[in-house]
Amino acid sequence: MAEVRLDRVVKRYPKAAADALCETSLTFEDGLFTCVLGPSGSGKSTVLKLLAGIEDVTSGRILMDGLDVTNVTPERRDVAMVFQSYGLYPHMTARDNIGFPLMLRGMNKPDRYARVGEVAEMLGIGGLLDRHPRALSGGERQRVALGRAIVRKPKVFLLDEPISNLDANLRATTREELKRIHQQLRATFIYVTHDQDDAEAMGDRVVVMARGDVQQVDTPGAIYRRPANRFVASFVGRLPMNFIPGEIVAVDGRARFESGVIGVELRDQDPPASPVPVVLGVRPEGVRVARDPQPASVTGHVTLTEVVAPDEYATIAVAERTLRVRVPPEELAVGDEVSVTFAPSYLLFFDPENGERITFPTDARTGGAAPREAVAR
Amino acid sequence: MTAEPLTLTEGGNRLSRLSIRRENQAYAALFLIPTATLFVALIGYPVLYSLVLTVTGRSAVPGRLGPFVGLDNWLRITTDPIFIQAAGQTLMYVVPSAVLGVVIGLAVALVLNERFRGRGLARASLLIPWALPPVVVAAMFQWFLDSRRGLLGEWLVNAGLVDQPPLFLSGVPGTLFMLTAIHIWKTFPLIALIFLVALQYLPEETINAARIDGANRWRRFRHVVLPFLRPTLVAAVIIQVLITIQLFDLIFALTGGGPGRYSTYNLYFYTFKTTFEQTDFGYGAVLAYVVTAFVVVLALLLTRGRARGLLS
Repeated sequence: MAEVRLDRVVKRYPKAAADALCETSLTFEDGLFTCVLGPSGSGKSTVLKLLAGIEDVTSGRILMDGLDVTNVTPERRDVAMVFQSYGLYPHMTARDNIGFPLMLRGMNKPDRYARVGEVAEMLGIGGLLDRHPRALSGGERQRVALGRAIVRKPKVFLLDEPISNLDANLRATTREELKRIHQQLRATFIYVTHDQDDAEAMGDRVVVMARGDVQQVDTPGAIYRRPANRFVASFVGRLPMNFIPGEIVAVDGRARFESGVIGVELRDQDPPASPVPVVLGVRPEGVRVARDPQPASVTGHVTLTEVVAPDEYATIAVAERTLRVRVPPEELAVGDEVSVTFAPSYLLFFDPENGERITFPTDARTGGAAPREAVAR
Repeated sequence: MTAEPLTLTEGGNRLSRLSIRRENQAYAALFLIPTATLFVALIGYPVLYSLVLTVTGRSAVPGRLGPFVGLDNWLRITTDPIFIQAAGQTLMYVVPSAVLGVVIGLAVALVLNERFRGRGLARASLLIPWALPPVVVAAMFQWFLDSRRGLLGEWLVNAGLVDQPPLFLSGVPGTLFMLTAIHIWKTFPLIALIFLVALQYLPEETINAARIDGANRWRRFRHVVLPFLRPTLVAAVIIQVLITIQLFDLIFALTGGGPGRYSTYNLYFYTFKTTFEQTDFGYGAVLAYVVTAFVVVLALLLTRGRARGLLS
């Protein structure tokens, strides 16, 4: 088992305008399943290639269990990797593909095939071992690639979007299986993906990356509920977060968020001495709608409804803004007039300049607590 | 009420579909006429005419067919010592060219597939020997190998390996091997190019997977790259054999078939000599058919193999 650490690692490709990976220090904890999540070009695959050793760092060190492996070639690092398009050997049967790492380590044929058989049983591909990759489906190839990684019992598994080429159903079952395999092996898994469902379903930890920089490292739940900045807030989440620029002001000795017709009383927050410009962020489930006018709510019109089963969402026009809101299923129709209120525990505030999330001294009390209706004007 | 018009429409469709098909075939025939005419004129007629030539003897009047001699010309190849010698020497050209040419081509392709500074320039200059006109190559090597003023002789003397510049183009069978070496020098770029193209189709992921699986450079070559290139290897050997069977210009320009009378003859060169210098068109046509037979068999191997997916 191994802890993997990047120590002030920089990766710059020749002739590239920006660093593929800005100076990054990052620890992948021993035995945990860490998902590296980010859009394309975020540097997430670069991290994996550097860890595998198929790319060299420009500066910095890579440590495995405290040992400096920065200059160790891939064939001598004890890591296994599953590639996005699997990287199987086209001329070998599935059996020889899986057994290849063992053959290279000098294991004799009977032992090798016995071990391949065990791994194949674990992955449910025992009957496919005599086939060549071209005679296998995408899901089967993916299992062979996984088998090839598992068979040598490495300390670290690197997975580069290994299930992104599978269809949706297969992806869901494969996630469960990967998680099960991880629990069985208890090795360090580092899984790169652009799909937040992967991260949510499997990650013990999630590393969110953008533009070659680590944005946040946390559990999937915390990433969702307490994103470190606007990028994480908008990248994570099935539907985009609502952002409302405005300011926090003191009214009658209480803190309020104000933005045009929208106003929210912030009971748990101390009133600021002078107005603080902020961007309010609230996820679709943090906005409540009702058909009947609520005391001190704002009025809006439904302009669009969409089903993201099992939930239903509506786009609601409030003055000149549109809000994406989770609504009770099959209750609202386009054109309906609704009153809108905000659940204070869901409200996040971001710095309008740099996009960082602003935490106020009393923030801890509200984060994740049971929602209480705020009074909207 | 509705059934009748429907049937009519269907019948009408079938009719028009048929007539469209007939019209298409007419057009196809029309468009084929130019190519078909050229094919018959340039290939069909000469092939048939040369077949006629094989059963005629020497002609007394230039431009006229000679007397009918039956299968005499065909039977002559079984007893002709020069034919047998030329056939053997063809093999002496072909085997080393196929083996060494392909090995060198593969090695060069592997090097040029690596990333290094100046790779673009190296790849471009690779093609120089292949792009040079054969006459230029011949003239170049004539100077290079000249026994009195040649560069190679001077190098060997200066290096202290020999006292006198050797006679590179005078020995038997040394001269034939010298020609083979020049031929390999001229053809390896083509072979390297074929391998280089094939290597572009080897996914980088597969190579990286092999590295991570623990394969060093040699193991990656032995277990991943070479099996991947196997179909290309077969194709490259066949192509090189085809090219070498048709080796002519170097022999013509450098040795004229000598030293001695026939020591660097191959079948192709013998065909040329018989037909155009001895003007024995009948026997020359037989020789041409023999060479063509070899070439056709190899070409079929190449195309059939590709069709079956053995190569590609």
